[in-house]
Amino acid sequence: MTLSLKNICKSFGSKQVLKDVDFTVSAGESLGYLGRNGAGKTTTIRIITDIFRPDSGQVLLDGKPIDRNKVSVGYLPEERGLYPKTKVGEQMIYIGELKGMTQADAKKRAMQLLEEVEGAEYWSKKLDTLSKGNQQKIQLAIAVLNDPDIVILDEPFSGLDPVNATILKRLILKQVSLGKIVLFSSHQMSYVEEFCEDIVILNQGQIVVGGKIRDIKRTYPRNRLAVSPEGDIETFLASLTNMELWHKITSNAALKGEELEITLKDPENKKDLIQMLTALPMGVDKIHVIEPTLEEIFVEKAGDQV
Amino acid sequence: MNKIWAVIRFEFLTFTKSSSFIGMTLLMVAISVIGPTIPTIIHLFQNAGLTEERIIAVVDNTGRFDEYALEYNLTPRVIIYDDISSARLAVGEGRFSYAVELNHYQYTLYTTAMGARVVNLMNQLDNLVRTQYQLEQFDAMGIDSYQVHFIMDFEPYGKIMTVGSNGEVGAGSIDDFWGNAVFAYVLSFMLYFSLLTGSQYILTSVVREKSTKTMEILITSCKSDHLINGKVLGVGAASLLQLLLVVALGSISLYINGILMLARNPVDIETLFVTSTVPMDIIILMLVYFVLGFAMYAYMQGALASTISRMEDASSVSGLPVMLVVIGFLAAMVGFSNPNAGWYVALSYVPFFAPFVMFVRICVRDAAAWEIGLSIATQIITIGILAWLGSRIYRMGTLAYGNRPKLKDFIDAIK
Repeated sequence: MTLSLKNICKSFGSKQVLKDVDFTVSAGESLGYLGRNGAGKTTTIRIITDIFRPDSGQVLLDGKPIDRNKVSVGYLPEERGLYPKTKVGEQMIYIGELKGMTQADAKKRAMQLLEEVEGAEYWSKKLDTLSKGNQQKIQLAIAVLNDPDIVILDEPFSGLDPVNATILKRLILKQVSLGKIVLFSSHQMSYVEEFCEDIVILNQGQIVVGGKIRDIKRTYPRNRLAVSPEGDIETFLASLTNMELWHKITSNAALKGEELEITLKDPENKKDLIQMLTALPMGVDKIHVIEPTLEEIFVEKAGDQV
Repeated sequence: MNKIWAVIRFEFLTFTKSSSFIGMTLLMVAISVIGPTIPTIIHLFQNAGLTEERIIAVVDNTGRFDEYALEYNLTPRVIIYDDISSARLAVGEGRFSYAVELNHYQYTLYTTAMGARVVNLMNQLDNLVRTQYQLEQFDAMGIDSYQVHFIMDFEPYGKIMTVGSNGEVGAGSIDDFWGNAVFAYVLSFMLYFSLLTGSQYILTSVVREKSTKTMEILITSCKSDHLINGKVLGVGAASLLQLLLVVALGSISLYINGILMLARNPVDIETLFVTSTVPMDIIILMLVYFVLGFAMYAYMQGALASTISRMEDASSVSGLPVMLVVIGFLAAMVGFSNPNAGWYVALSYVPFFAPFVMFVRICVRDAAAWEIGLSIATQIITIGILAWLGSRIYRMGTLAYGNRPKLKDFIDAIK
């Protein structure tokens, strides 16, 4: 099963919010849908969930216009909340019924999910008696209550402690392993890298970069290297800078803890550098290419208006 | 269908468990049950000697009044006294409520404080003295007491019948009017409170769903039409149940107290009201008008509530519906004494006011069947329009946070 957005455009009044948004995500995959606040992420999600209709473009499932009566969508919105004075079990059953489940199925599934998020004891408690983290676990459980084909998670980890984050991670990874289509939006790039092989970065309603994270990173020049010497790092750097070739092939060098970060003028100079390192009396523990982090890519691609 | 049913059930249960519903139900049940019971309670207290017994000390300087005549004509218990100064002292010390000194065709009443009861007693004394004067005059003319009573005790029989626009005599009589007038007052109050409580609950419920961000989950789980229709139907069903409970318990109380009062005093004017049973057609029409009125105001409140995000702003949008309810209710009460006045009849066709004004006209048997049919039809059309408009505004409003939507946004949503 694949979910595709084809050339989606949407305007509110004179403001165009989405411009030719186009991406595909397959079952058993998790797509990181990234963008700054106001980039158009929520509008895209609302189009997928059929709250808004696009001005042009199509939402396709397996290449055909999506029939929302045949496909179910679970959504954890960023602006989320539930009935504070209603018991957890009661509202889980209610929302399950709204999603088309029978009362009995909703109850059974809700209890099972509460077990999974280690919150079974909250069944008879009013929501406002739970901590923010525990409320968030309930909300994620509600998002996947009806075993949806498509799971959309908007900032699922914001404000969570490491223990609760681990519990939620488990639940999300389970959705991916069950073959669901997972759309994941977050500003916490470490989580995106953990869950997603593919990303789409949206800037002012337009996709500025999209594809596999590994491939995107490979599009950046591989001219930055980190070297860990066996001995004193300052002596090691001094030895390098005394070599004539050093100044010809490097543009920058900086000490970062126990590592020396070297920027080469050309990625092709890696061989020259390795020859220099082997010529030194001090040995090298580790050498590797420094790839740009997802955060750096995000800032570069989405941060042009800062 | 299952989804809308789930919303109806959830809203019904949530509303019936709310403190506002429980409080208002208890209050209305208490009023409807205790109201008809008050005469019985007073009677029980009187029999048990727990209420103040009013005693009048009478000093008859004329020698014309025997104790039987005095007891028959005066409400307080009568004690004959010889000396007016002792009688006044007894009043001053609080042992008696009144003292009266009867002279030839005149009297003096002594009391510690003025009030409605004193005025009533004066009327009784006036009648007593007047009757005595008349009897003496008849006696002087040689007319014996049997003939006097034959002439003076004549009771004319008269009745008022209502007439329709075609000149035909309707079913209503003056007794119906007074009996139904009491019901119109009582039932209009119930209608007013139920409409206000139920439709206000819709408003707060929608705003709460928005302010707690529950709406985001709801609108992605089912259609907004299901949410607003389910909310109106669920809260409406709870309000209808509340009204039925109040009317049923009130009717039972009225029936039981009517039997008790008839046994005590078959001719008392209060008995006439309390022994009247609420006509079934009025109860059915009351429920019909409640359902129609509720639907109109509930859709209006739901749509308006969706345009705000904070509970603090609720009063700014609820003003219009609440004002319409209050105007309808007040207009119904103000024009009550003359229900066939032109402005009153015209107002009874206006959908927003019909639940009150037309209902009062129905109670006092002023409305013809076609008029009732017309007002119901206009209300149903209005509900259809409001439901259509309301669900569109609701759909747009539920997603609007921050700034209130402008008129242009509403027009776009309706399109």
